[in-house]
Amino acid sequence: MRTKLIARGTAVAAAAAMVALSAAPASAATVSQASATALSLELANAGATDSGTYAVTNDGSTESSEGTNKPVINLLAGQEAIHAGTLAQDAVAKRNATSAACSGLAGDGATLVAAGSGNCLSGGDNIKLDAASLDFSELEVIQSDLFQGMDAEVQKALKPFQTEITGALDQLLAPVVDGLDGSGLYVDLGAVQSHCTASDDTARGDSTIANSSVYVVLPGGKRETIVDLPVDPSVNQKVVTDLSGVVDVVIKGLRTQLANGLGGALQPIDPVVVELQKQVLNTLLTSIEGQLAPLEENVLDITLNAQDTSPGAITVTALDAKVLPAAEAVVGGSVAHLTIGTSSCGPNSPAPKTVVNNPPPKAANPPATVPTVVTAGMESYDDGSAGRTALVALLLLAAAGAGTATYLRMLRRG
Amino acid sequence: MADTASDSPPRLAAAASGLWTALVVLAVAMVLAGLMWPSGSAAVEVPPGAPKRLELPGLNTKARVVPIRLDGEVLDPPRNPREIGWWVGSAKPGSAQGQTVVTGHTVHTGGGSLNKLDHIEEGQEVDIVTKDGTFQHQVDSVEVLSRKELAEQAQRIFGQDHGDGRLVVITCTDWNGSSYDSNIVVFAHRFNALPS
Repeated sequence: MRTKLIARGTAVAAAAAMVALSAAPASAATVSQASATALSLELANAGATDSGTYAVTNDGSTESSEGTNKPVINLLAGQEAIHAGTLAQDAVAKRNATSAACSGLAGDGATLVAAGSGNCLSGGDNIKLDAASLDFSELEVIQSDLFQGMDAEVQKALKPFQTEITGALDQLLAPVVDGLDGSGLYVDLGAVQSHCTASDDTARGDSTIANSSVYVVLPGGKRETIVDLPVDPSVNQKVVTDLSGVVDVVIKGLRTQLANGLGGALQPIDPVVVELQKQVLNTLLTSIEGQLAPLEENVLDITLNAQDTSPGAITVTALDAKVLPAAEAVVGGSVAHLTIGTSSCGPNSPAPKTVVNNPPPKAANPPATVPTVVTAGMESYDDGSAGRTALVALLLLAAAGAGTATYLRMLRRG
Repeated sequence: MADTASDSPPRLAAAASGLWTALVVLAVAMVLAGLMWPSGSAAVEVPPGAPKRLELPGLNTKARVVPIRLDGEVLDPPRNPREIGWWVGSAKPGSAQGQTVVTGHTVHTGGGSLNKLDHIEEGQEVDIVTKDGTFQHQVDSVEVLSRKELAEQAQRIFGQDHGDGRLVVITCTDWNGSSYDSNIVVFAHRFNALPS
């Protein structure tokens, strides 16, 4: 009898333990959540730093948070790209399965606004972000094949003087290339920020970018704007940043130097100078243009208002910029990857209303809708132009038919 | 001997009760140990997330994945045939339950994201990339089903009450000169998760 009692008691205790264990996850379920990261910098050859992430969750009764919602810009360690400004990252998660977040960066003097009101920041000065330097140290002005491709007679005439010529050209053009040191790529930023909201089944977000542009400062301090960033970017808007203007300046400088200095520098080989001027210029400039070609491509991969969505959840990043691999040879410096204003909301779900330990029998549930047809085949693909052409042809055909019918009717009446 | 025989039923009952108690205690102990014992794979855990890219290394195929919804009972891949659609009614990659369903176009004149799927073989790798990492899968089976067979077996192929987080990749096949007669369905189980 005693044994039976012990066995039953132990069984009851075990069952209670099982129930407690199975009920525990349900009571800790997340009803709503959101997070925000003001700034993240991946530095070339120097690791990464960021403002940290402020994340909040609500379990249906209380909101709990991790990280700080008062980040300070001068705590971003180990970076020289950005020195001043106001960071914002804030998020709220409510019991009613709604959440909101906002994050961003603005200049000094900006006013902070709590999450849930849309933007986080208003006002403030613009700030300059030192994105990258233009590195011309690998530029080979005089290459070994400088004389290849010239007329055979010219090559023959130049042969005794090749060393002198390459030396003289190098001396002539080196100051132009050296003078390019200090050219830099900068981002001028007004308030750059994103915000999002989520309920139990939908999530939405947006970004704003005020008074911002990407520009290059050339030797001598000349500022050349590469692109003005749109204030209200569309979702996942790409921005092209080709530096063909910089290439033009370099080529123009070399051309001027060659034209002005070639005669004097190559005085000892005067008989061939005229022909040399004609041929060496093109060979040399073509080679340099080839080396600078990456600058004429897109050098920064910039995405504005980048949105990553899944059912009931969204992550919005106001500005995402990174140096493209093709441009790494000529674009060096501080920033390899920069993100400003990353706000995430959801997924949220209302607190469970059913009794966890007494779920309805499975058979009582109607089967969920599943696909019964998958239309994953196409004969061909075009961008719609064929369809438009066919439509126009049909309309013309119809018009011609109607015209003919009217014409015939008029003939019959007449 | 007679005493022994008369004592047998109580002894058997006591033994059964003792065994029952031992089993219950063992069960509770195993549950608690399972909760507290450090898991070796915890360090490389990748949370379930919306898919961003599908990669079929054996077919040299990579494609961006975008979410798609059902239109009635029709699952239509993205309009851009180079993209793959993830049915948002299916499990997120990395989920422990349900199955992740992705579909992409086969284009008869070429250029579809899943044009090469009919060359896939059992044992080959299929990867799904999310923002947090990559889920690696291995192909278990490849089935070619007529439209009727697909409709009849829809719950097995697309239902979310089973699957243990397996991956289902589907496209069209059997071009008859004007349309496709069948679907090719690839089932793959997850064997690894690599954090990004």
